[in-house]
Amino acid sequence: MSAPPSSALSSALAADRLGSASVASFALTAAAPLMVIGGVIVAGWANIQVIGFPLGILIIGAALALFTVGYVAMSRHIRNAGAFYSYISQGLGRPAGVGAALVAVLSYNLLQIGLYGIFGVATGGLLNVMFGWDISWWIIALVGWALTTVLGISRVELNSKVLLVLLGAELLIVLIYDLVFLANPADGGVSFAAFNPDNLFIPGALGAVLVVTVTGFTGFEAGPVFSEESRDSRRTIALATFGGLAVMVFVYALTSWSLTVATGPDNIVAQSQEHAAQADLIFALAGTHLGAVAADIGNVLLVTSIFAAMVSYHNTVARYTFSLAREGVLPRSLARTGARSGAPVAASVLQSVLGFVVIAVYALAGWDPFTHLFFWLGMTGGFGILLLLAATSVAVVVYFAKDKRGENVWTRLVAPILAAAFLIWAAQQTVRDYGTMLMVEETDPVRWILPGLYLVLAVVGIVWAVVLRGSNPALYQGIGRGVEAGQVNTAAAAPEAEKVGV
Amino acid sequence: MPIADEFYLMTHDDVSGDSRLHAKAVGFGLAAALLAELCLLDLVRPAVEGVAVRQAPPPPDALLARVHGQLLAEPQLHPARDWLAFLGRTAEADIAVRLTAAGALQLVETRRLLGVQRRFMPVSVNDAAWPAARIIGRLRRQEDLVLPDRILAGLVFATGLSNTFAWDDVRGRSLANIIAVLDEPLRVLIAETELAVSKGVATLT
Repeated sequence: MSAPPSSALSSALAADRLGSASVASFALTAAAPLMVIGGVIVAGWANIQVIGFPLGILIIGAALALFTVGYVAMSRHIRNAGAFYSYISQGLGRPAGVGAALVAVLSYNLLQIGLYGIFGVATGGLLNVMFGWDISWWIIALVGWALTTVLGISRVELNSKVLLVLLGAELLIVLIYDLVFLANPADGGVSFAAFNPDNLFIPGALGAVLVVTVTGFTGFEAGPVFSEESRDSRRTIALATFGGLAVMVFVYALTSWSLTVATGPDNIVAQSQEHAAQADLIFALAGTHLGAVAADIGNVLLVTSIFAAMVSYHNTVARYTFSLAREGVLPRSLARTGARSGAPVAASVLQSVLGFVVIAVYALAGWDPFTHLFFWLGMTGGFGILLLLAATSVAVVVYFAKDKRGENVWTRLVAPILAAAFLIWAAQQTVRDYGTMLMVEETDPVRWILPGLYLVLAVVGIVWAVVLRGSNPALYQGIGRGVEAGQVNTAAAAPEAEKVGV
Repeated sequence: MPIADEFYLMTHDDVSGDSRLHAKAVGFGLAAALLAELCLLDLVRPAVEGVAVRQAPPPPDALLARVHGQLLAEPQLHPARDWLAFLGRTAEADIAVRLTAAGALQLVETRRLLGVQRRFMPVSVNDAAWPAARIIGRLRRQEDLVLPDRILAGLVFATGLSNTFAWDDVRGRSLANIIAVLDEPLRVLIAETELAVSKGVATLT
């Protein structure tokens, strides 16, 4: 949609817009590779005790690529293309959209809050290795929480160039580790056992592997958020989303596979269990081949990347909450902003309060920060994302069934249907294997409570939307339009006495 | 004093001259104030689908003449939000220059460790504080606002400055009420400003 070059306005605004690389880097920040492998996948090996994560990464990567076909196509036709609930309310109706919005708020909150657990553990481990200090995880988590809170309220975004340099350093060190691991296989031979379907398709564990892997990919969906700010909304977003996804699949699959080569496929589970609590399996292995310095550099980068992800998720949650509050789906008081900072202050404070409460409860109860905070809450957040992905791909199919809007049959029908079928199946497998993932007995109620939270919220959202349809039709009509839905009505002069929210 | 000049004084601290708003919000608000000035001269007409401009001799004020010329030079109609973004890139500096020429601001140079810091500071604290004081006084007394003051009050709510001024506690006052009696072009302009500022909150860049 580029305007004629004679327009000074169009060319000036175009110069400020984002290219594919910038958009992709925003998405990759939330998906810190060292954290995903060293934290998420290693914890997956330790808890689920299945070797086949590298194959799981390839399968989920392929499914998400199929998902992205329809997701990006629909993003070109709708407003507020940044949020799953917009797709769902415009495809499956506003009640489903409000349900999805509440599910999304909980998911992203859980993902963010879970990070405090691994931040405390990983930073504690690093301080112990480097300085011999022994500091409780929750003290470190609270320091990280305080920094996140201050950055969130004052809207100091971490500098995107600094983030890019850190991301580049992280990718570089991961690739160096990978080469070293592959050059030094444990059993004297490079084994491809990690890609053997027999090591993945294990009844009772498959769903758990899939949801852990989806959690690792969270953040890839961020591209369309920038559709209004990108140079060419058709190409930039598609290129950035597929590009970001390709980088993730390559790095995650290669790194997780080379870890199994370094330990030997049969030892990966035991080694992960030994190291999971400090999130240092990669560094322990790298240290034996490359020396302590190379391992420590990676360890520092792990901590910085967890911190960057914490801030990134915090801001995502705050903006999501702000948009919903402006729409009127959440209380309007949450739409309050800071004039000076331009930050969604009320939403940011709410997220910080939730984080503080969870850290405090875990610290007082003495629950394990890695397993019970990072893994349980983080994977439950990832399960929410899986549900949203499945619902969104169904929404894409329904949306284009009403009107083709010039999209071809692969884009609007085949790819989203395949994605929807796979994602729904994966969600169903996950519910079945939830107990395995949490490492609890099948009879433990927590195995139903955590995934059940989403069912409760979805029902609450649907009921709330139906109530709104009767009580506030104008607000109901705006659902799914995000910030724009909160715009002051200018169509007709409002009577002086009427109070309309600003 | 022109609307954009008064809004500049309202959006900046009356003593230090520091901005009271996020950089983007200042830009959107001041761009809207410039368009409002042109609107009152009947040279532009903001509507949802685009900002229409009237072929006419340029206004006497140099800054308004330049903005009018920029609008005339565009081959096609652009939506209000694009004009707010475009004019917002330079509005703060442009209006500071106009206020300096009018004798309301002065350029103060402070030597720092690295280089020299240049900032625009009000010449008179009382004069700088006057627009905000005048409007809040009339709002509190429930008096009718004259047209320029009503536009200024609308922009105060649209940019979130009403939080800073603690105007939200003035009973029965909200953006919708204040702009309700304005003509549609001005209502659209102020509503688009509010939307642009809120979108700035919800996006990363």
